[in-house]
Amino acid sequence: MTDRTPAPPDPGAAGDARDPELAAALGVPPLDETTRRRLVRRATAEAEGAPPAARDTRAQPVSRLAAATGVAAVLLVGAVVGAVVVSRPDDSTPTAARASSTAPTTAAAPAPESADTESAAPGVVTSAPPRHLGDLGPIAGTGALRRAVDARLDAVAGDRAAAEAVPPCTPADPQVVGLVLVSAVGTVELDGQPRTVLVGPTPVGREQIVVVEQQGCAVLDRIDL
Amino acid sequence: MAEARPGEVSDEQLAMAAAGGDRRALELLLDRHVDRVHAVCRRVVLHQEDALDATQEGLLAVSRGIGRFDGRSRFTTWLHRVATNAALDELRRKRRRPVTGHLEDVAAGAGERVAAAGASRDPGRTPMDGVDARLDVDAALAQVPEEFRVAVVLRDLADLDYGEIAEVLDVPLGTVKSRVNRGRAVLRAALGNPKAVAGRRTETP
Repeated sequence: MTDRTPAPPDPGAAGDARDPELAAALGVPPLDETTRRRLVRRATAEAEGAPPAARDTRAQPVSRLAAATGVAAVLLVGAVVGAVVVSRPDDSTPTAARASSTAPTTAAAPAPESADTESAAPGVVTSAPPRHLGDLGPIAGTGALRRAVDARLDAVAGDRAAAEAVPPCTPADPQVVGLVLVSAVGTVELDGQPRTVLVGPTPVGREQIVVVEQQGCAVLDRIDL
Repeated sequence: MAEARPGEVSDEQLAMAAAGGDRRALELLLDRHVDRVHAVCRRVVLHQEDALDATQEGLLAVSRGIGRFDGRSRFTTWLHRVATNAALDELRRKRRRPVTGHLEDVAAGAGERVAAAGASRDPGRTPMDGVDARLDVDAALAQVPEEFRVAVVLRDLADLDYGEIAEVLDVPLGTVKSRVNRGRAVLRAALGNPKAVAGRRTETP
């Protein structure tokens, strides 16, 4: 059937009027409040991150400065913690506790989720292993991936890493993929392609999913959680 | 679906403010129309999860593109163009995926489900009643060719007039009328509406 051939008479509608019966049939219930808010919040957050012509350009240097400060703070804390560990190898005090007594807190670096910070001092970035999300299976689209990671994060809360099953391209240094730390890792077949997903806070405090190519380990996508 | 009520700031005013960088205006605008975008996506994509993805993409497209809204056409016309494109993009993405597409599944089961709905229908019941009817509508819509389906959704769900639909789809007015009429005929037939049978009879000499 093509729309170039003459149209049949329209028995249910007078002329060009809306068909009330079909209008009722096609009606879709409104979204629940949580879903509405989530959709709108993500869209407006994206608008802040995107460079439309009308956006207030004064905000951009400030954001860059904040990001740079955050990264610098993380590096500084890492260096101090490393130095303490190296200089006191036989100290029985837990590393994180030692760090808390020597290192400044990092305001720009959000602490990881509670499951990973049970032994950590407040505000100190720990090297706790990331939670393992496992294989998320075949997923189509970034929206579906976001929801799958969301759900899996809830499901694995409190479950520490399965060290024997580290997904490919899990970086030793989270900054390689632009995260302050990697709080969770997993694998997925995203739109038919094998990918590794890394979850963690960015230097400006957003919780983000980073999608990484398993061969070559290139960052392919970033999705705000 | 939300519209600006008397005394409220109009869509166009909000859109112009959002285009000027007012984030709160953008938020109000998106909140006002998120159900509208979702409804269009839901009835074009015919799958709840994919429709949510399409809705998100549509809202993101509005956020990214609001700076280009110049107020020369109605905001809702522009919004429906964005929503329709997001829904069609989602369908295209779905077709490219190696996994089994839901549309094929819906279409395959459509005849059976529509027939079952028709058989169980009592005289006082419209085809739209109940939860089953919502499934019936999806199954019925799956039988409507995509471009006809979009036209019917924009006319009978979104309540755009033919001129606006022509603008949204970027096709001539006559094409819109043809697509709406044909889409309605197929949809009514799929829903088991006797009026559609009468309409279809006119196609056979």
